[in-house]
Amino acid sequence: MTPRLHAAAWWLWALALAVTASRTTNPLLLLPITCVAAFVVAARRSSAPWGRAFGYFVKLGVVIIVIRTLFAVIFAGSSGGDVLWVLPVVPLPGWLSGITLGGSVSTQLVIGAFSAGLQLATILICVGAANSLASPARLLKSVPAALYELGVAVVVAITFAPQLISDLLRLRSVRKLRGRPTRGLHGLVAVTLPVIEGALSRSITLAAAMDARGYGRLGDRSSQLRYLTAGLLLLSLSMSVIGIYGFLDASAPLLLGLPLLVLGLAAGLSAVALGSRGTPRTRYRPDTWEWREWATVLSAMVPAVIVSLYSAWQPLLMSPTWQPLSWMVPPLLTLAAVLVAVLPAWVAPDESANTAKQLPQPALVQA
Amino acid sequence: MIRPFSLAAAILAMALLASISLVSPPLSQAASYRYWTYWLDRDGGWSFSSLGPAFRTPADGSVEGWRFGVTAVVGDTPPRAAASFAAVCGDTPSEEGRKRVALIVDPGFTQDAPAGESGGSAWARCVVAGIDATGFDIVTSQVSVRTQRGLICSLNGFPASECAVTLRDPDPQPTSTAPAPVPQRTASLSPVPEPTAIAPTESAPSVSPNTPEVAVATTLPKTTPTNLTPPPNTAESPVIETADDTIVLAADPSPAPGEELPASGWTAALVIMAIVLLGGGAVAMARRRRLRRWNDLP
Repeated sequence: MTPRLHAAAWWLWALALAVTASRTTNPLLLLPITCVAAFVVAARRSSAPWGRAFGYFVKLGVVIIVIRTLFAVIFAGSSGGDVLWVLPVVPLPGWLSGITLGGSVSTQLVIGAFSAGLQLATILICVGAANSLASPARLLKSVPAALYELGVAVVVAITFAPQLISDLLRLRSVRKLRGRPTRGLHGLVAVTLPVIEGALSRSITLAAAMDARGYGRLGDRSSQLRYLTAGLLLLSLSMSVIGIYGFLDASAPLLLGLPLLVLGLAAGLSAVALGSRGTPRTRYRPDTWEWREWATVLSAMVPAVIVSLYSAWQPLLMSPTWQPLSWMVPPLLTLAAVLVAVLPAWVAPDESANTAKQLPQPALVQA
Repeated sequence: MIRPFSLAAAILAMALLASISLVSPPLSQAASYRYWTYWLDRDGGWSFSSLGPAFRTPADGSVEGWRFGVTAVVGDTPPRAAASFAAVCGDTPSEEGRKRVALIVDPGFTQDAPAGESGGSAWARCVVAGIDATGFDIVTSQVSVRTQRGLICSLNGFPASECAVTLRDPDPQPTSTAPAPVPQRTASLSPVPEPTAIAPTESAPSVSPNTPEVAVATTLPKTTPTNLTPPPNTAESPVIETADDTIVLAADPSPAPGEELPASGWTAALVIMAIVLLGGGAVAMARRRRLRRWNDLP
């Protein structure tokens, strides 16, 4: 049995990196974050089908950047700054006021749109890194008992993206064997629908299988306790959503973010504690949380904290306005902090060598 | 004996109440906002622009005002100088194919500025710009403008880092120049003043029927000045009287507080090195893994 990193540790590492990316629009900091994610994934991803998710997330990120920049250029309006070229302004009806089609496109506008797109893409790539590093099945094992009631939803949510990737790979190899095109627009269209349908149905099948093994089981808890748990959980989720919005959006008052986040977390934890009380379960070969997991999570917390502090202290460097146009080099400390997050590439155990042989070959029967 | 269900309901209701009371203060309390407001001349007085500067194309002979201050009610802090085109642009000749716009920038009272900062004195300039230059083009052609998410945060480096902050404590009193040349308020002002939006793609300010039009300046009033002496942007310091305050308009903005950016050549080199090393390493490892997979095939 090879040691493997706890799936939750990978997710926490990736989410902390995503938080780091959400705090800056400086490409000179976003690109290193992307490279750190790519390096760790290349070094430590599993050989399972979902391990190849990262490449697809990178492609999606590139699409996002292109679309974001294109839209900024099309709806340029009058952006000020160093004008690159001027597109003719198309008059729009009055109810579309506030949107300008065409206009003067400036360097600042293009760079700003590219940076905003890159920020979104980097956040997405971090999620992609988590998807290709963490085993969805192992993550499912660690789900607290309070969430078992939401069994089907949780299983579908956690396993959908990995299933999507493995289905995509399978369908492509099937088409390749039949001599059909796998690239280009035609290949994409032919593969899209069966992939989405297949991933959803396989996730639901997995959920049903887990249901049969007692995951969605109500247990012998009283209905009152179940209502209490469900109510607390709902409350915790809604408060966390508002709290995260207040915390991440710089223009929202801080009073909104932190207290609600803390309250939501407390409600969620008590719901988990209450829910787990009535259902004693044992876990077969539970994943352990040891120093490797701690090191992985902390290595990504370092840039998250330092970049957040810097974005409050020096907003001009972390979210540059490019006016006047100059190289906005991020502080050395933030770069060093981002590089700390590459630590899991050595700390985490390499599971690629051993798991390859254990996995069943993908069946080439569908489609 | 309290039944768990009613207990749950009670907890739920209390938490909902708590969250509502937490959420509501910024909406219900009389909050003030500290930011740059954008003003237009209307019959010799100031009127608050409900459109962002990027949406307005001023005509030749118009006056554009910028005022930094603490705003409690929309339109209570107009620039403290008179909206007089003649005082600023009187000596500037009109040019064929260009327009003249009087730009008046008033950094407001020192006590309204963020702690430790000062916006300097108010200044005015006659800007000669292309016909289709918007209000945003005009102000960016004169001073550095810092924007964030479609909001104008600072002009000429003031304020240094904040961006349209909400003040909830009554610490800096909203200093309204109340009886001053009454700004003709545009109809339908939102109760919460929205910081001046500039970017067309990011926010869409509502236009009510009687707000000033986004004037497409095709028909220009060709006002030929009588004396044709100084070129634009020469120093002129008209003293302008207002109802409550007399401020001297300088011709030039006070020098922007230098943003001290650390010397960054080495850091830039390190950033590029990190990208090349990590990215190259990732690609190399991915390639090696792919080769290994091919070799492992039976």
